[in-house]
Amino acid sequence: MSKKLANFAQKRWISCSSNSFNMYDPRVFREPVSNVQELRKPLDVDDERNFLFLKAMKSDATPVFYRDSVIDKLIRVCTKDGEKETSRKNVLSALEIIKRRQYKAWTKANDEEKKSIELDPFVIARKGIKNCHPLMKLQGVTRGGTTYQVPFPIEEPEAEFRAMKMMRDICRVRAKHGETHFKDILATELLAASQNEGSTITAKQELHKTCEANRAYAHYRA
Amino acid sequence: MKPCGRLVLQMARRMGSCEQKVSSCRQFSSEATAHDNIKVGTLCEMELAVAKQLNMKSHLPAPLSKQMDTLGEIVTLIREPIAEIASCMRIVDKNLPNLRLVLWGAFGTGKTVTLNQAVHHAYTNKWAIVHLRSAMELTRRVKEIEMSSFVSGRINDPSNAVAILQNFKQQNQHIWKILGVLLTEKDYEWSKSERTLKGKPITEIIEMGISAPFLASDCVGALFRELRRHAKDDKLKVLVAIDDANSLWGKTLVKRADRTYAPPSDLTLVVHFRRMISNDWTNGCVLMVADKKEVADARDELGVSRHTPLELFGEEGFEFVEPFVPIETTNYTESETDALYNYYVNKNWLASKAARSEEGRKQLMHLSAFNPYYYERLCAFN
Repeated sequence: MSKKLANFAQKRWISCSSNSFNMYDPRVFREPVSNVQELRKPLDVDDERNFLFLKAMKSDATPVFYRDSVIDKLIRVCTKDGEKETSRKNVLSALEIIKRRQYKAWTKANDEEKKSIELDPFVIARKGIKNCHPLMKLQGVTRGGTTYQVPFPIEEPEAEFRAMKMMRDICRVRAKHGETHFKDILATELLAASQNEGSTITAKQELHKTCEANRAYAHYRA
Repeated sequence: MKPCGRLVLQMARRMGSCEQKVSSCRQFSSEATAHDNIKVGTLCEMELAVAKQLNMKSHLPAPLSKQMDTLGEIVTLIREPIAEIASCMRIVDKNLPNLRLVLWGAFGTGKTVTLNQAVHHAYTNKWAIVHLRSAMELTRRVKEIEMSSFVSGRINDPSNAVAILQNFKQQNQHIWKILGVLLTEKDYEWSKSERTLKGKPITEIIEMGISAPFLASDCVGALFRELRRHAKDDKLKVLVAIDDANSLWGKTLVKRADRTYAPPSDLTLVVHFRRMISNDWTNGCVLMVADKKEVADARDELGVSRHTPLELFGEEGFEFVEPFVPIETTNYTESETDALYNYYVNKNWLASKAARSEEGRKQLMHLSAFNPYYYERLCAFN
């Protein structure tokens, strides 16, 4: 039924968001196993995967030891024109730059300060993105010809996406003329955000201020 | 095979199990003391002051140069290729023609690093060092050219020549006094007004070239000739280390006046380096790297070129360079990766918890497919 609807929607340019059509027939395909420990365990005798196909594993779901959902999402957000390899190279280089800067600071610090300096770039990047999560979002609501920017509540995944998008846009503007590379600017931004400083944090705070200023329009929330 | 080559190869085979002389490096294995021989499979540190004098920052590959900056030390693995080179350098003698070694191997297996380790070894044994960062700089990164007044049709490269002389001066500070004692064999008339008389120290040629760029290419040639002469007289041993040496017979981006590309044999600096490689002098060692950079084409997605010396040097280059001792660089073994992994963990370079676990250690080895370059790249962001 959904297959016919999807075909019809494609021919007649109708948006069809009720049942997303997947090339993988859900009766025949199952998700692949991403966890290495689970992969090593043998399958149950009556497990249905003994008789079914598995979907192809996505490139950012491979069971490597450095798998991190936040970093993978950041890579996806920073991808431009479908060039995920370039984006991956940029983000991982940014992590390397963060690590080098922290390492240099760590070597110069005395024993007390050494304990407080974090060397793991994944931890710093996660903390930076988390500090940039906005608490509300502004959505345009049209009433009587005028579009009001109304503050709406936001869920964790969307807040994370908006934080990454803000950071990515700021970094792209700064890297535009080619003097500094995207990876250097992203590294600076992530490091600063983990300390609650930097342009992305400022942008988030501006957003919060606008939400606070527009709190009267909250009544327009349908 | 040419008769002198057969002699050299026989000598090389005879000293197969020769023990290597120790370089001045701090060993990382508990058994080795200052008087022990270099153990293959251990890590070796190069002192920063020495590295600065040898200009390692620009000669090492970029990732290692950054590591030098971040970690504050240059620590490399001693592997079989450098052990072979060290033992080959031991048999260099004033009666034997120069020993030619060609480092070859797949991408990222340690050709340039081994070359730099050999330069360091030459430094500790007080050899003269002629180190060229990349022959591709002579053929493809030529900013300005001048037609030679010495030989018509030859093309001089002032900026690269000055760079070579400055590099030579910096790298040979440890034997500068010895070089000051060696004298020129004839009058050199650089131009109508400049000349270096017979019997002057050869350091004057270097100073002359650095001060006058338009004479520098000829000064390089004169310096090399004097070095070869003094090596034959057993005054000093010379290590000629050329990275990307196969580019000396490769493609050029230097245009002549009639807008055609000049062949490499028309460039003075290429001619001078080819003379240093040729077999007619003694008491020296020529270490060349055959690199794929020369023939690699980013637009050729289907072709897979080989990394063997014959493929990379081409017919003409291979005939010139043979007989040589081929030294292959290969991927890491498990023990070598373990040594490097432990070093990174001790240095706190591997920062994430996942990388420090047993699972991380095994995955790092296998994800990089034991390739040294990709192993270092993986460790860089973890």
